Amino acid sequence: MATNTFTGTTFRIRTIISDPTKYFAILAALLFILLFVIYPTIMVILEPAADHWVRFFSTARYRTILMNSLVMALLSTMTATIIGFCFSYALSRDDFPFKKFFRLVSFLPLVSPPFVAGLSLILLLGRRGIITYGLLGLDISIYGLPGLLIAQTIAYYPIAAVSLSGVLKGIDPTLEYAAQDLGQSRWGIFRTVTLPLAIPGIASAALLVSMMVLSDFGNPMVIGGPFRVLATEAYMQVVGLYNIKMGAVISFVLLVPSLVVFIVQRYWLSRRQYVTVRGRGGGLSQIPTSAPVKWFLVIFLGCISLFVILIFIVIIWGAFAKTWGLDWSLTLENFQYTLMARTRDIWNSVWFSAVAGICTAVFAVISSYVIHRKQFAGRRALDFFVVLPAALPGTLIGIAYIVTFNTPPIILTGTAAIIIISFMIRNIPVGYRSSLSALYQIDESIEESAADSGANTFMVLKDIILPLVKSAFTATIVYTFIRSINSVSTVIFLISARTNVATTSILGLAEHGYWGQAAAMATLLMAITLSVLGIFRLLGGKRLFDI
Amino acid sequence: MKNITLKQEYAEGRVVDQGSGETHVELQNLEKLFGVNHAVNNLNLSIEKGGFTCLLGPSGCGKTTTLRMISGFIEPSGGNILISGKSQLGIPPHKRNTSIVFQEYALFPHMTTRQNIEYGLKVKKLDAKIIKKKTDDIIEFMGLGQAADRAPKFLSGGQQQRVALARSLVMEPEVLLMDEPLSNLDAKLRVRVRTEIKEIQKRLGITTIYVTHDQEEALSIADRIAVMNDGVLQQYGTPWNLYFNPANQFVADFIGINNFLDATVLSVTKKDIHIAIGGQKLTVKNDGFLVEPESTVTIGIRPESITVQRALEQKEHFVKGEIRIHQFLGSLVRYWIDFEGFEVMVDDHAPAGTGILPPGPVFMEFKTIGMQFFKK
Repeated sequence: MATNTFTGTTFRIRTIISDPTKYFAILAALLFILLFVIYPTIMVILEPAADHWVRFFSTARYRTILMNSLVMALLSTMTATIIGFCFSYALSRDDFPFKKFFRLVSFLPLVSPPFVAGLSLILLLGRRGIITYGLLGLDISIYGLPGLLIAQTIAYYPIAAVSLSGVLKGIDPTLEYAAQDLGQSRWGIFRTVTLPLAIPGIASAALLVSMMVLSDFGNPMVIGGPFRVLATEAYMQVVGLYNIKMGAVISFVLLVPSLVVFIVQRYWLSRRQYVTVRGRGGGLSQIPTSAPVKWFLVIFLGCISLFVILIFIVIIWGAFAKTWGLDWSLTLENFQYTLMARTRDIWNSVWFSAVAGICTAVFAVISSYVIHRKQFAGRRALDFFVVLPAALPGTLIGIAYIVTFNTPPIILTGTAAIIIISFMIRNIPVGYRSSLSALYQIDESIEESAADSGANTFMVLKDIILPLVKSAFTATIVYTFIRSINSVSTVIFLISARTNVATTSILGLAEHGYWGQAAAMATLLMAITLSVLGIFRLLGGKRLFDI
Repeated sequence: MKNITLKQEYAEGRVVDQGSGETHVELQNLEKLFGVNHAVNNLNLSIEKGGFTCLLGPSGCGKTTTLRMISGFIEPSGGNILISGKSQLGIPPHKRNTSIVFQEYALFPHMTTRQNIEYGLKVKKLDAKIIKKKTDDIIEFMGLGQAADRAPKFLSGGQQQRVALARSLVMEPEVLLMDEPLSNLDAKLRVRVRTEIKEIQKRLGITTIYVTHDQEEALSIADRIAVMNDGVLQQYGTPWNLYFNPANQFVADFIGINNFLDATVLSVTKKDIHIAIGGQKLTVKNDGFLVEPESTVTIGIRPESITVQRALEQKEHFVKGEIRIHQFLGSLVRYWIDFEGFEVMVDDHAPAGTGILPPGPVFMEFKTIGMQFFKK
């Protein structure tokens, strides 16, 4: 026996020496996840005392805030999911008109920070709004639940649309033909085949939206007014009152729906994904959409689209207007101010996001490769923890990082590193999955034949894997960049005077009523995002938001 | 149409197909254009009641398009489709008395076997008791009892196939349409399931139109086969007829295995035809071939219509070749023989007696059964 163990050990040592990249990669991925996902999560769990929990659930004010959050999340999830479904259903039909336009609108809000919707609504419908005050002469307030609902719906329906489009496109048209052949009407086909098949996807999209709506606080801060929600309260507790323990409790309450989403997606929905055997397709195009449905959708989505476009136009207009509500003449003053006083914030945003994008993509490719193509102990656990951050609300990560990295042994607060790492952690799950799906396209025999020719893990990665997953790799860089430069909920806890970023900067301006400057900065941010997206597409990048 | 057969029997229509004679489905000058391309070109076909008809051809030949026009999923660009004498043009799929089994089965993944089968009956709003009775009957008939409450993904390929068939049959269609229903099964299962399908079809006596690209499948299962190529009907007949009397070289090549040899006709008598292949002369029995003297033709001959024996002494109706290689396939030995610049495939179906001939010179005799002459 002893000899056996000895042989086993030497064998293992020999394999490590012969393929150091593999073990280095596994170790690095493990360490990174351990340090920046598992450790902070445990630290934030341990932060509050029992007393804080009692206080949270026994204080009427917190209960109201909790109810507010739930009501807001429930309603805006419903509206956002319905609109998202309409978009992705329309775009999944072959015979739907103006598809290019609707496809663009279906993800347009994703290229700006979510609170741009709220900001724009104030300019449109607020006390000094162009419609309410300028056109109608009304003096009404949009602040509160109604405004918040509209803003959240506009900001988050693209999440539902993107998440549903794969599901609806994946439904084999022959199923509809089979139903039709068996005598079913078009409405019947939708009711008995299309909709039931889409239900898991709809559930998953709704859960995803609810999780994002709950943990978003850009919009509640901008347009929520007196209507307080958990996310803004967590921020208030941590940054305003420096009560990190209470902030931790609140962020934990936010974690509950996220964890539900994560568990449901991983263990329930994945088993309910209906993958049908696709034949050669055979040139059977879909059954034509019935005319009333088609035109209802054109009109409905047309109105939504016009509103969304109006929202962005108003932001741009606001950026050029002298004093919104009083003097609508055009000026460049707002941009001048932005470029003078806030250039550093924008520059921070750009380079933090760019570095995070590259690091995320590298991490995603290497980790997906070693986790799915190599055998080692703890492989499945690592796979779980790499995608776990998808279930962690931004607020929680932000607070967890303050709790963890504000004190020894590792002090990172106030540095660029902590912001970049938080961007990475938030985008690694998506990058990991997209790199994984690219990896699945590569037959293992390709690597095996490379290995057979004497290549080690490093060479296989460099010569075989990277060139073949290149498009997923660059897509991850761009996706991470866009999501990071527009994100608020984590970064707002981590910024310092030196490391302030554009989104939080805009939020600060909006909060203090500097609409013009906020709008100018938001416009610049959108211009940056759109140019990056445009260059990426021009260079032949695949669709980032695959609708 | 190129390379028309030169056989009197076929040309004169002396070989008559057996069948019920009663036309059930009739395609008249049927035409389908995709853009400027003819997917189906001037197709005329009458399909008999209770028969099993295969539409056979390579991919892109228009067979699936034809089936979809019969089912109503595709509107023809021209011509007519009659079922029991009634035109089907403009009638939507579910109002036609046809039911289709798709290649990929198109089973509803969110429903069990039973729910899939009763789906169409429920759409028809039949009485619950009748639905139950009909569904139970077909489940028993198809031997799906154990699979009744399982979702499609928990069924084997063969079971999924039967559920798809049951879902169509329970609707009691006049005409059953099947679109390559076996192509998602593995080779062994395919042979078993096609036998099952044939048995079920015969027991129910239901008119069936079946699309396939697999000639062996078509030969084994069909009463009649319509061979199509490039949207054009090449030949319509019994499997026997297609095999032994192909209408043209395409059919001769597509159905079974064939050797094609370029030859010159030297002279023709009532009894014999004298031909030259390369430098060798050969006399074959005139089995009613319509060949003209001093014309060049292509001869089609099946591997089993050539016999080989060791080259000892030259006989009159033998030609000489050289065995290059052989394959032993159990029930037969297949030789590849170099013959006047052609590579001739020869099957010896009774190898036990003669043993395997070694590489080297060999005599071949061409039998006229299964031999075809085509105009060049």
